[in-house]
Amino acid sequence: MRIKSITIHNFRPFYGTQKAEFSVDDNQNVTVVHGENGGGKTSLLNAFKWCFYGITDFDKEDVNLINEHALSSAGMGATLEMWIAVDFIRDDRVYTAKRTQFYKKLDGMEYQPAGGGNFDLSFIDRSGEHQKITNSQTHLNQILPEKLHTYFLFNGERIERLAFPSAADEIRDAIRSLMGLEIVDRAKSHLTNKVAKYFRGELAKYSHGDIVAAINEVDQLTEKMEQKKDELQTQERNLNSYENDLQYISNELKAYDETSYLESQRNDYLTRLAQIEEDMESINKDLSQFIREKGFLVFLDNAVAATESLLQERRKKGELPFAVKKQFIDDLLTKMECICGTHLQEGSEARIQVSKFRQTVSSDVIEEAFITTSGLLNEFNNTRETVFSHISDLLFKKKTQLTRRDEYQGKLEDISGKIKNTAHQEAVDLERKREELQGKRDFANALIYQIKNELDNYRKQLEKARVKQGQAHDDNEKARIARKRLSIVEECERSISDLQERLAYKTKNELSKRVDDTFRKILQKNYWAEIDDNYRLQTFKEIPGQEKQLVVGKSTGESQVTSLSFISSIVSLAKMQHSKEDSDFFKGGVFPIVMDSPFGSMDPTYKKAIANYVPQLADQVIMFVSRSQWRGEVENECKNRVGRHVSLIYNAPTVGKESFYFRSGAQFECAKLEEGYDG
Amino acid sequence: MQDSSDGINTTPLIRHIVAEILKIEMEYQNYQDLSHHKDKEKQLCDSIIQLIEREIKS
Repeated sequence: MRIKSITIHNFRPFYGTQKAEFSVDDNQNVTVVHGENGGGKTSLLNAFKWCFYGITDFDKEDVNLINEHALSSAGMGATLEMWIAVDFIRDDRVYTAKRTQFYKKLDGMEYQPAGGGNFDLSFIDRSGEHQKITNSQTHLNQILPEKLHTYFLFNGERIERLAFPSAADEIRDAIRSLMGLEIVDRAKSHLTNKVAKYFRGELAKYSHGDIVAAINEVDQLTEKMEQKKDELQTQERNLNSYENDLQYISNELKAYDETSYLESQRNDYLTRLAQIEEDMESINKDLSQFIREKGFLVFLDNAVAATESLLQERRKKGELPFAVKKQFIDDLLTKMECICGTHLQEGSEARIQVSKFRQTVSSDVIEEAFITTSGLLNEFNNTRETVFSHISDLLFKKKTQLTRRDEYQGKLEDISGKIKNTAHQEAVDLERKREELQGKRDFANALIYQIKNELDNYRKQLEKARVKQGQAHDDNEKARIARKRLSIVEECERSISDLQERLAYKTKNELSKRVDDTFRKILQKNYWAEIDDNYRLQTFKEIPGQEKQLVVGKSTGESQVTSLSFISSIVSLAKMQHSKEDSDFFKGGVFPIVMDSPFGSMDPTYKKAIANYVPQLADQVIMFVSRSQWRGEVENECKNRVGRHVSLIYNAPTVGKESFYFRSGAQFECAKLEEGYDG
Repeated sequence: MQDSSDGINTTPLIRHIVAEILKIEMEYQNYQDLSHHKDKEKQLCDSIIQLIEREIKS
């Protein structure tokens, strides 16, 4: 799919009708949209989102989507029309996606929607006629899935978040959408919540007494578990968003001169603190394992002493260990000769005496038990002496770590205080926000812990209730069949869970390989990238003769390269899926990439590396850049692959700094789209 | 469609039923959020129930 053009009418800064065309060429597949900050680039990106899905994601909430000049110049009670149309080519067909919304002007700048929005998808058939597609939104979603839109319509300055550990869920979700795994998720949910419940109901109908009670219990517990799983998902989502926001604040604080050093120091302390927590956890584990294995020795004081004295007594009496073994007597009787030389003839008195002696010697089992017990008693005695010292060693280590933890927590409080005392008001506000977020994050963590415990409890209860439910001897045919059907449904649930895991794992590995290929092509360093088993996008460093080393504290440039590699891999995997005729659930697609400011404040090395790879990111790339981002490395690397240039011109009665992209003298503020650029 | 349930460690009967369940689910994939289409969700679940009843008659 390639985007031919976008036409915007009265949306955000675009007054009246504005149109931009994009390159659909195979080789010159890049279109550059030039514009300065504040010139309408974010609105243009949102114009695509609004047209395709009816959504926007501006930084500020409650922005007016309708153009303000169109609104202010309309009379009270007038109807205003806002629409966006995108023409695109797919499988040699030209489609038009058009979303329209009417508004009614109220008093002043007040307005309200007039009816619901309208979305149409149509295409031009072979005879040149426009054909409307019924169920337009669903059809568009099959071409450009909404769930994946953040990977082909995105703000380049924000993509680095994908390289943060907190993006694991987002990556997992992308993989699910990419393989159409939502279908499998839905099947599992329907089996658990509806189908199994139905057959349990059938079984209850033909059963009685305890079985009915057990069935009801299974029903209630299943429902409770599903509710808890939803709660868990919500809290995990909250946690991720807090982690993301905290990471952004940290990056912002690192960027201010007044707080840069303090923030780096804080990150260093936080890393150490995490290490201390890890060490404490390991000490706690050691302690509990040691107490589990050796703790009993502390209470064995009397028992060991009593057993020892008993054995000593027997030893003194010569009863243990036996000097003479049973086998030795047997050998004498077989040879018919005693050690003193007496002939042990059958029936003789001497033979009878020797045979009697055989009865009194110990059995091999007792003999062995004696040896083992003596050995253990020795070991117990030796170990018992070290139990207390080992436990106090571990407790001492734990105390040391607790002191270190308090020390670092104190240092972190100092840093927070210092930041709040700087003259930089934005930094002070960010620090306050950070504290607030940290509180929310800790609360979410506590809730997650609690919910997981509750889930564990429900799981155990459910297992017991299922055992009870399965213990019945069905005394009628209907109950027997219902039970058989129920067990088939439960088996299907298990198989579908396996399938979910298998497909997700397969896609993760495939995606991981592609991420690494792209990453190496862009970065050309001894680094590689992969998606680990926890769905985190990680980068590693190769050090000759050493094991691979995780790159912690990636620079913004490295994070952006990692994230772009991931996005490019998603787009290429979707394309591959599209070319497969027998794809599992998801037909894939050929997605263009529309990205706003992918170069941000990146240093020249990364800028050059990414710019060089831009044309390969997807079959079609539309990128929005400012003059400073374009000039230099980006222009040099991309210019031969650019098929079109479009300029975003900001017009106003007066502008701060007049330039090709900022023009004064207009009657009102508005943005216009023009072919070409200030090259 | 490729048999996506292939490779699952289970019996041929379960594999067959799982594949049929997924086919039914795919027929309803156009309804992105089934919680807004309760009638369709009921239809879908009824189809799965009928499938199980058909496959397990005795």
